[in-house]
Amino acid sequence: MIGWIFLAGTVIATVFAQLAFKKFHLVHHKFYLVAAITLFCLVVPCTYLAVRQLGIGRVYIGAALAYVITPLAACKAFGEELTRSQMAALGLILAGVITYNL
Amino acid sequence: MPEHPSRVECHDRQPRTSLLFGLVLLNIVLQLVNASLIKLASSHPYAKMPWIAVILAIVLTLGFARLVVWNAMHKRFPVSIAYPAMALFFPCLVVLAYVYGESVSGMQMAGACLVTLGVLLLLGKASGTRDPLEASS
Repeated sequence: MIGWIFLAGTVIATVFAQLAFKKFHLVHHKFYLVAAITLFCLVVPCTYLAVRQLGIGRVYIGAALAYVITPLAACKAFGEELTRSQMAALGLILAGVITYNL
Repeated sequence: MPEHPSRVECHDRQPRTSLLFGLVLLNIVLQLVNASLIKLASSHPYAKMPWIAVILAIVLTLGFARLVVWNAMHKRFPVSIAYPAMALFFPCLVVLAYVYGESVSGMQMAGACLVTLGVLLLLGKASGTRDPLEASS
């Protein structure tokens, strides 16, 4: 169970780090750069602790949720647009992550 | 005789697509090295913490190298295209997990295939009709 909690930490930190990094490029405010770097640093120990419990395959495939959540969050945060086929692609990635961990 | 506008646009698009694939490939290689190092660190008992700390410090350093690559990607492409493109890392990761002795079932192979299909669909669309730079502005 503790492994899944660390995996969730990895995903959340990755998503917010990506968003903070993009925001830095949009507004050029150093706060977002510092936030992004701090979150990136947090990802490493979280991933390590998750891998100890779950193994490299489950953790890195599980971390793929960040690849789905980040574009969706980017739509909300930055007004980026996703086409239907892009949404379908994200759906396939999500299905893949779930299938891997069944 | 001046070159046809659509031809110029086609020439411009080619280097941009190549740049996207180049940056994605570099990021994937760095991710695989990091995954190997984390697997190596996780195979040591907690008592060997100094050794683990050194490995994690290397992972962090390589992570900053990835940050430089991300920087180049974020400057040129929208997050919704550039970031999911790196999901091509997953089929490679399944192979890596197998090499390190983790069990990889048929279901897990299917999961990795689904992820790859999703990425191919995403990339096919990204290199199609819309210029990523235009999409980000």
